[in-house]
Amino acid sequence: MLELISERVINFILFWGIWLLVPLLVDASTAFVYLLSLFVTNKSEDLSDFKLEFYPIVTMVVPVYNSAGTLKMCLESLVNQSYPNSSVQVICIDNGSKDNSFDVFQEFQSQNHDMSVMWVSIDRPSKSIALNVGMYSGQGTYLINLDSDTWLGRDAIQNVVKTFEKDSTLMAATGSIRVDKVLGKQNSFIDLINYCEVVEYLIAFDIGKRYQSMTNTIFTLSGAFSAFRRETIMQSFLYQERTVSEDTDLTFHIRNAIKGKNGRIGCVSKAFAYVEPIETLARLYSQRLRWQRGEMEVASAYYTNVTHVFKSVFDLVGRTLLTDHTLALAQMSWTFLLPFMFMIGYSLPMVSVAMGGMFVSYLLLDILYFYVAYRGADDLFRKELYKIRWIIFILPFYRYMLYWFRMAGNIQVMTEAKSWKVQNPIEQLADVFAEYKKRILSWSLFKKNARR
Amino acid sequence: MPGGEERNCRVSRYKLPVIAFLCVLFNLCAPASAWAASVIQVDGSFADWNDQISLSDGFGDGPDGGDFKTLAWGTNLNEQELYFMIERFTPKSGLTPMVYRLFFDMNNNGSYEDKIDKFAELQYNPSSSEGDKVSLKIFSSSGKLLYEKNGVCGDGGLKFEFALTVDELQIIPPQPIRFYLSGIGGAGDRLPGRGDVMWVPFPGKGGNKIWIVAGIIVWLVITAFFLKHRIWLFYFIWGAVGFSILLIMTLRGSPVEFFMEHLSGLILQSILRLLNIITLVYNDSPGTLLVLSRVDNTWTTMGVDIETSGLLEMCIFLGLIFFYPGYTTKMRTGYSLLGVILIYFINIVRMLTVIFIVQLGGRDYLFFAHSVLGRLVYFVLTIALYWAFFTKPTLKMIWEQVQNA
Repeated sequence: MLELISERVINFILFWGIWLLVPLLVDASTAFVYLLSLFVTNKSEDLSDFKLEFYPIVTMVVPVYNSAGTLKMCLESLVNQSYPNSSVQVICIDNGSKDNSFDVFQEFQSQNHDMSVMWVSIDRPSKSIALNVGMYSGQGTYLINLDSDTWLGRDAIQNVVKTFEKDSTLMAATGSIRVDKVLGKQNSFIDLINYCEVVEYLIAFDIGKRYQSMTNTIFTLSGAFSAFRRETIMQSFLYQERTVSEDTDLTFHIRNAIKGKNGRIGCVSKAFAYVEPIETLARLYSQRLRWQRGEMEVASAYYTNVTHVFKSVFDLVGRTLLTDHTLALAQMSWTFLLPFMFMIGYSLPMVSVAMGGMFVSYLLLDILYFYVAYRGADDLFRKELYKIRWIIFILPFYRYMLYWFRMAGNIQVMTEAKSWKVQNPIEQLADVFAEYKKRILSWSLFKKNARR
Repeated sequence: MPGGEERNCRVSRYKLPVIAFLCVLFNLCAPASAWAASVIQVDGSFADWNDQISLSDGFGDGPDGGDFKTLAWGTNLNEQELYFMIERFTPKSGLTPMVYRLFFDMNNNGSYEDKIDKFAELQYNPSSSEGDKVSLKIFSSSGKLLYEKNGVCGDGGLKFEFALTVDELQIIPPQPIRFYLSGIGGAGDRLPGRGDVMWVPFPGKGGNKIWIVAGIIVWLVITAFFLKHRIWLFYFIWGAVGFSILLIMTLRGSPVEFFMEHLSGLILQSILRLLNIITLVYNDSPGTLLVLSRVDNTWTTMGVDIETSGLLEMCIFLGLIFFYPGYTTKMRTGYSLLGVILIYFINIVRMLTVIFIVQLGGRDYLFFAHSVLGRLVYFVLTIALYWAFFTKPTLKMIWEQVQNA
């Protein structure tokens, strides 16, 4: 009988669950490929024997917008680099800050005379324009953009320059971004989200971007920390305002521009930058929605001539769209319909067991991802990761939540004009109910006054 | 205004009431029509077995009194029972007792001697004082009596009908089983003459109309709320998924479902006839197709039911198309009509794939054909359709917006 039940459950999962299983298999195959990539040595990554004969000028472009809280840390990380300060030029471009960011800058400037630091103010609240102003003003052989809420590891600039000098085909590269979070100390809800972020970034940058660098399939040169050869960025359209993902837009532009010119886009996986963990769930929603919206907008600009789905399978953007949009739509309906199947004749225990089986599949996937992250980390980081090994039970929920945030991005791009900050549906609902409450109160007050 | 400046999102304020009105109207007015299967009842009246799924046996190949004429089987909506009807040719020696055995291969592996397998022993004595009573005993394959019950007989001792519940047979619908009918003793008749019949009984559920109408009203109010306040994520999820579920509940067991299933059966039969594959269809068992396998000369019941009719996928597709924000009414109309037709034919392709595999490899490949390869073919083609009707037009529309930004 047990054999029969398991046969029925497997049949149910395969037959109806295919809409959820295929996205899972796509993720699982990515995890396997990442795992395999860890066993492949990338020669351009090995910088131990490579010594710089001279130190080319590096321009750090830091767009600033109400960054008083983080700017100091960001700038101090630049002055504490192993790369000589005399070869570093820092340009901060303020695009309309209303806080005391400039005071922070002034204090830093007064304490660090050996480094060339500049402050430029522009009157347009646009990160793209701020970055472009910085890029144009920069004198460096290499231009690096760095968010003002991001700080660099000590060898970051050194490793970026070494990688570019060693590999003349490398035209632009993203750094490796990590979430700066002490692991295992606190376990509030947002801490758990942050731990998931740590694992996610570790996989996405240390392993994912490294693999993409090896296969020349980098999707985004991160807006938070990326480096360019001067001639490469100057021959491009620079950062454009037309989408909310100006960094992905630029990445695609450069990719097309260097196609057939023996150039490539890569990742300097040993150049670390650190970002603060996300503060609230609402911010995470806003961030992921923006990323997904940006992906769709950029894809629409560079992917208009694809005639059919089978062609898209063989294309980087096509595959991304297939999973993040086409499959995601089907996945949305089936997520709700699978539990509903008992209402059309399937036995409730069987449907329940099948749903449990689906969860176990997703859990196994995240165990695999955690293992990949663990394998890819250095010894010190492994010890930290080991402290939060139980996070594997949270990761499936985190992944599922991000799926909905991405879906919100897919929907929002069709309905609302672009905006840096967006309200999440819970906030919207709260606002609506607050408005209703206000109306009811004013109505009862009106009636009370009328009676008087 | 959440999320900045309002974009011209094409959502007609009249769309929801129109959709809801049509759903309610259809729900309340849908008649039990000629396309619906007749309800089988164990009552001694055999008119409900006319044109149900059945197999006939030739005259004179069995002993007198035990020469089978017909074996019919079927299920009803909203019931958990498997119905059978057995008919014999008129015996020359009068109305002798009918004692037969119906063997079940419960794990569908071709062997009738596994521990889980069962057989039903049926005894009917037309000349006894108990009249139309049929004794039914269920045994395990080793001969251990599991339980007994009574059925009802009629029509002058030539045929009788009975029902077994899914609990009595210990099956989990839709679970494939095999069966054949046999007389007792080596010289007894057998139906089918060789091999057996594979069947995937799935007595489905239909929705209660009042609850569905209430559901439509609640769904409509909440959808309108999300739409009014531009809470798009919830609007799309609630609208699309709710619409799909309500449509499935409305169409389940409706004339539309039976029409689609019957038409699928007829289309499949026409295509398979061209390929010299023998099939049988039955007017009162819509969508049921009996396919004769040339590999082992056995019959396979290919039921075009809720699992295989493509109805669910159509409802989901319609939900997504109707509530995907940004599309024009023209796009929604065109895509929904074309999409439903394409999904219908994609499902025919899937069914043909399953039948070909079973024809080539035998019934042991049914699981692989139905749940793996057939489903994969269906999935790939459906995703291609989603790409064409969702992702590609979306990219085009976003690109226009990006250019105009």
